[in-house]
Amino acid sequence: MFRTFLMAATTVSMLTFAPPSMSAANAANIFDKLAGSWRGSGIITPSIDSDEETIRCRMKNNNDKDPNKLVLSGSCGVGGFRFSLRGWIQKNGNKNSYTASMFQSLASLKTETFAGKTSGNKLNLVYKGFDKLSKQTISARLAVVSRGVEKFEVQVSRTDPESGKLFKVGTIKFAKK
Amino acid sequence: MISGFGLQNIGILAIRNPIISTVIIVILTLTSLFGVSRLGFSGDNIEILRDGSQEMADYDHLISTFRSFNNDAIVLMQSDKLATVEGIEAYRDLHFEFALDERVESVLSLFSLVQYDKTKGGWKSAVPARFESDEEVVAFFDRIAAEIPSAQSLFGPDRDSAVVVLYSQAEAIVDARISDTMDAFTKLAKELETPGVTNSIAGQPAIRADLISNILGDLKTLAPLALVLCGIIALALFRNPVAALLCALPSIISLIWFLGGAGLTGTDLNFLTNILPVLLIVIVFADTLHMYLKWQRLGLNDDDPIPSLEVVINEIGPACAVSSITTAVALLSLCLSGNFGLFELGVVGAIAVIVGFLSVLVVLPLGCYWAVRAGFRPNRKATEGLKIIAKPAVQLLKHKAAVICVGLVFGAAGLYAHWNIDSRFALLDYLGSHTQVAKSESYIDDRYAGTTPLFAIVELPDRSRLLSDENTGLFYSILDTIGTVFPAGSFYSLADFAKEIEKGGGEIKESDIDQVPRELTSRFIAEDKSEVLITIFSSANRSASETREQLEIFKAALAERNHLDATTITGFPILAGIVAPRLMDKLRISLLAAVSLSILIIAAAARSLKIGLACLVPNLLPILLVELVLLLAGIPLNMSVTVALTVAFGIAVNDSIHLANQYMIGRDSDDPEGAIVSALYEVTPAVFSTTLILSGGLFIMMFSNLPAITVFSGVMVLTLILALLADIFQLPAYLAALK
Repeated sequence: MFRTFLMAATTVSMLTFAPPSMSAANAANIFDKLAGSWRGSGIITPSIDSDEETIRCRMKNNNDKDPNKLVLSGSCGVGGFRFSLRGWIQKNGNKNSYTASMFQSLASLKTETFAGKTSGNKLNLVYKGFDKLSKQTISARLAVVSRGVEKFEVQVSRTDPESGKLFKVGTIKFAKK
Repeated sequence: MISGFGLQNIGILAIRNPIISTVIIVILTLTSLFGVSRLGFSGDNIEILRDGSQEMADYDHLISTFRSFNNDAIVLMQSDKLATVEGIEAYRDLHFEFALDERVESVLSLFSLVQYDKTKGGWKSAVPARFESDEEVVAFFDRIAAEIPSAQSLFGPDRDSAVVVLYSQAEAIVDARISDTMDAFTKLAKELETPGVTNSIAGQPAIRADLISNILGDLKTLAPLALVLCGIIALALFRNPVAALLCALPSIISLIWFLGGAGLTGTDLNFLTNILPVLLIVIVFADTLHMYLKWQRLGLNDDDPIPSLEVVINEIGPACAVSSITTAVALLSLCLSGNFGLFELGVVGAIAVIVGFLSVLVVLPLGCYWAVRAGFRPNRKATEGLKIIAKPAVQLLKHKAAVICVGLVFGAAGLYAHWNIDSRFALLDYLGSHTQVAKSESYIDDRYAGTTPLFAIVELPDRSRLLSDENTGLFYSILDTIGTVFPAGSFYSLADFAKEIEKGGGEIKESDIDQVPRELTSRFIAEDKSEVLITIFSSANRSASETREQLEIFKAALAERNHLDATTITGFPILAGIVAPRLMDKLRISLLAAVSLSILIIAAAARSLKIGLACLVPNLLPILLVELVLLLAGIPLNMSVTVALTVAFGIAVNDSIHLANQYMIGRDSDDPEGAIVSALYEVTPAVFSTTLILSGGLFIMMFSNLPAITVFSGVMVLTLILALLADIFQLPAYLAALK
């Protein structure tokens, strides 16, 4: 149970707050949109064959010091398990290149790559990480869909470590607190 | 005259050097005022039971090895529609909103429960992620109650309430922050209320915050009110505002010194020491009145009443010294209880009394000195009329044998009460009955089985492997023993996890346990895996004797299977059922010690064993009669009552000391009977006035939000009134009989 929770949590946390690869002009803009205090809720399927679980998140993000760097903090809860999310996402120069450090609290995963592109109000991201429990690399896709300045949602899908099949994890809807 | 062991010389020194003494007092008071700003408050109520016993050590072991159950706050959700989609979603919101609060380390509710997934393997949430209909919710409650019986400790039997247990972050519930944290929890709980759903906060942290809030409230409102009331009574007696102010001054100054000293030394006021400020005010006021009235009498015919201040200090100072010593001794006798909380009350209280004595001896004469220098003259007539109260007592002196017999009959009845009165200890007794926390606590105690659990800690023989045959054999054997004493479903442990896995055809493995976060395993397994915990639900409303009886049966069952050595039984029921009654017994010993020591001190100060003996029955009577009243009213003896009786004795004996002192002064120039009559006329106005002031001040404290303080004050007032009657009517008869 806790393994699956952990996997789901990791995927969700990454996808929720990863920025898109986008134009330099848009970078600060998306960070502006993601900055603030957020309350999120949704239903996820942590692994390919597991039952649905409720997830709730609270985040406080800011880009006050650097408009090209979003500092993230907060936590998510799945069942009786809570995990914290801390880190940052940064736009590198004028390129559509982003780096992130945001899984420090999730010891069982090792962050590897983190990249993405934008399309309209949708930010598509790909994450790759090593799952220490399954001893396999997992990848995930997500879309951060902006719904104006007050709302956004995160659509998550990931691969099953055993079959390599992509499956839909779920959607978390965020609203400004 | 009674000897004051030379302590009155402090006052003589002060009045002979008024300028230097006044400067010192001003500096001391200003320093203390700074200390007042640093005064802290503590809402700890478990510490009151701490006595260094094995039971407390076992409880500490439970907290340090597993988790601090005292940090558990409880969110109580009450709703008739809990078993509907709307209701359970409101409960889900409550769970997650608190789970994500930064002041909360972890939460426990139905939404924390997990079940083993038979088909897919691994764990899943016991509560579905969504419900489509109310029928589905009802079916869920039926299923969870059947599949995980211990889940029933998280929702009400009628499915009209549910709880979320909050394990607060330690730094969020330190005394300095606990009120803010509980306010934030309450605010969040209220924000999540929907039509038909009410949320409230209970549990130990909420109780502590409530206590701190009430302690502060008492200090801010009742202590000043008590002071004002004492001042009004003094004004009514003297009909002179300057006289009333002079009598109030030592109380005000001693209060500042005491609170400032506590602030400077980092001594927090707790729900026991909270009574000391008011106690100090009234005790100091009483002694001040004795001195002032004497000065009034002596200084009336003098153009310059300042020289008579030295006479007053020499004549009344010793009695004040002895009465302060006896009060301090009564408070210090609480230290004999071996209880840390009462030890603190005893020591801090004794220091407060000494501070008060110094204030009476120094501040009043200096105040009078400067008032006279400013043109003030005392007015004697004001209190002369009170002498009429002594007349019936003087008349009764003719029938001293009958008076003594009546006293002995009442004393015998009181002794019967003393040995037969029941005792109890309940945390709810320390909460204001009207507060939301008390209401929620009371509701939870009535409706939920597991609010005050009993814990069985099992020491595992094989330290190398948690789930070795040797360990599991012992654990299941002890669990089986528990099943023979406690009803099925009334206890939970690691076995419940194992059962869940076994349901799916699997077998529990150590790696399964390792995956579970520590905040959950801390309810079952010690961090080093050397011990496991079995939680047994127990009602908070069980009496001490019922708890003891059940515990004996449990221990016998464990002994029969040779498991007694491997099992430690602890929890709040043990503290309330064994430690608290033992504490009560020790307090009774403290009371006897206070009585014996006070009588010895009076005898030593009077250099007369007869006078000491004469004071014995008149001072025991008030305490025994209060116990008789409590027995007849069906009120059990609790800690507040016992402490109040001890402290009241220390104060009540003061009137006897002043009467005996006056009797000894008069005996030098009069026959014994005449000296008794003179003493009665001389002292009665003062003891009546002091009792009026003491009772008035303590009466104000009966309006405290803390029931412990209300009971304490009520018992004190009753004891003081009975002590006044015993001193006026009984003591003269004994003095005459033993002359």
